[in-house]
Amino acid sequence: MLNKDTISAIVLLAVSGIFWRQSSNLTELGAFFPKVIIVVLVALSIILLIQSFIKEDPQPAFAGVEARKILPAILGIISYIGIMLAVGFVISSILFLAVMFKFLDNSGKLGYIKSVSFAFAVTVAFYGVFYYGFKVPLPVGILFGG
Amino acid sequence: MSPDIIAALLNNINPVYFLMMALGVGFGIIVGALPGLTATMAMALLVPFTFTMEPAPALMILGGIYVGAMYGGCIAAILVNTPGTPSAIATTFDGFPLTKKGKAEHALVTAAISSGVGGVIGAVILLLLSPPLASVALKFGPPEYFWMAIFGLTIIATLASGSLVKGLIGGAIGLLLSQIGISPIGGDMRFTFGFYQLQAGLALIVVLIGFFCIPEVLGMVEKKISHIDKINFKPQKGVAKGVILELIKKPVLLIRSAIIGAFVGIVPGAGGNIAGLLSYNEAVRWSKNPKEFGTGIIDGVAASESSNNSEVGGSLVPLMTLGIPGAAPAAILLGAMMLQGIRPGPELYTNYADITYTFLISLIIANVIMGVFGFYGSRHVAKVINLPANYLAPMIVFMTVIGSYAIRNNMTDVLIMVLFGLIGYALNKAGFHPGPIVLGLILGPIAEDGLVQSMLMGQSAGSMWVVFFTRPISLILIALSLLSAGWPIVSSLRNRKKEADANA
Repeated sequence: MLNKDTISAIVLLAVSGIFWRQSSNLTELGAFFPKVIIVVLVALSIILLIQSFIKEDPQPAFAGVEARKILPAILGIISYIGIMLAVGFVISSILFLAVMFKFLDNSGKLGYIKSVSFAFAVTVAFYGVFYYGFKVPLPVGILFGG
Repeated sequence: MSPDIIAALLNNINPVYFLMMALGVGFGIIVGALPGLTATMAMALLVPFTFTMEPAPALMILGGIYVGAMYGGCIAAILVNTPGTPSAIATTFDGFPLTKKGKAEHALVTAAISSGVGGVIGAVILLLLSPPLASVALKFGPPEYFWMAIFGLTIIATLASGSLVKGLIGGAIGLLLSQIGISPIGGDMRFTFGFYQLQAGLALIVVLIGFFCIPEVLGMVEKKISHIDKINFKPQKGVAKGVILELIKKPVLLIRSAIIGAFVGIVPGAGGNIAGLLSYNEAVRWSKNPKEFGTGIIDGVAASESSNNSEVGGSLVPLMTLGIPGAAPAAILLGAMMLQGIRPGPELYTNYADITYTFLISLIIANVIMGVFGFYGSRHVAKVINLPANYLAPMIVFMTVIGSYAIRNNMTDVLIMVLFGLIGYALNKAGFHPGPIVLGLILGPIAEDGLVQSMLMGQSAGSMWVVFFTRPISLILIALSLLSAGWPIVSSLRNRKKEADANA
């Protein structure tokens, strides 16, 4: 089975390839330093790749990642941003906070009304501070003309 | 007295600035007390709240948070044997045994006073040491800047805990990311992949918020931090006087630990945890009763706390003199300075001297405030240690989103913050720490400017060798780079030899 260092090295070599290709269109002066960095990155990635084959106790990829907890959390964060783009800061934040308060509650004691009320209070308080205090209008979302 | 120092003193007695700094210290103590949340994260979360302010109070608040968070870590270390921040590891050695003996109040008072004393000594060392060092840095030309960036990059060798190769790869990733946007010389559009939003490059502070906050939040979700043992702590009365009298009799312990802390801080890459452990060891070595350490004596707490708070001042020396952040919180300060249009480095003492001295003096005052807050407030702060992760984690994400948006009123920055947060989490899982990546990101433009300008100088002078390898400051920087890069390799070889000898 591939260990995490092998996978890291392969990904880094692929990224280096993409950046090298991009740097081929640049002027000599503009390309010099990035190319030096890419060469160094490739050399180090090859060392990591070799090390990953000869290491005595390679850890399997994604060891120690609790997918059951982490994946919904990551998905929650990504959805939060997606919903914010559509409907703006206030609705998306209340939704995200309320769902996450409840989802991460291990005690099982947190009710829906309490989590929504807390999410509402936090969002409105921060919106007020930024809108009136710092004069930063937070995003209103595409659907509302933002 | 120079007008800049007078302006700095006046700024520090401005009641509004003073109040904001005190709030920063208080916020720092609370965040530091929460296990899993670091000083870096506290500062990253609060930078967006400060960027609309004048530079002086903005830096005062962030300095206050840094100082407060460094102290706050001791509260959980003493009461529940879990360091609130990594810097408080050595505080658990005697702090928790004191709690078990029913003497938690002794440990908390000791920590507050030692932290205050250590922090003030560290801040004074920063104030005295950085102006002369910065005046040397003012003589830098392009080759010196190039070598300084290389020296900064060799720090990766020390920042990289675990694998040197991974540390160096992290640095290279950071350097490559720093190349996104218009090239400084030649004006090429580099690595924007068709996104016009990337033309100005990545906003440093946005990447820092992503790298330092999102992985920590996901870590909290994984670890279920709410599982901390219930705190068994009953405040006692009349303890403070006895502890103060006992500490007054140990000035050498406090001063020695503070000096160790400050100088460990100056060494880039070595953090508060190393400072605390080192001075704890020294305290044991110099003690008449070394066997008592670890059983619950205030000397152990005093050594660790005096040292890790003094480290704050030391860790800012490379930033304030060379513009190289030697520790993660210093990288956040660098990002905050750049947001304010201030270039960290030697110019701080010429072009921005009033702001710089305001900040340096405020660090001394922040440490006094921290000592007072700790003395009177640590027992109350103890109540937040059990704040459940199900509230904390989503609220931190919420604050990172607001923060990254508010800097330029731009949703692209939010997307970049989340993207780098998730990349940071994946890299962390693969064993790549954010420190070297951030260092590469910061030093990339400095290294490139220095390199390309020096090459142009070399072309006109007819010799690259003369430009790069004959200037005296360059030679010193090259020697320092070799020392910094070589030292971890030498020490790891020595450790291996020792282990082999022990096994033989």
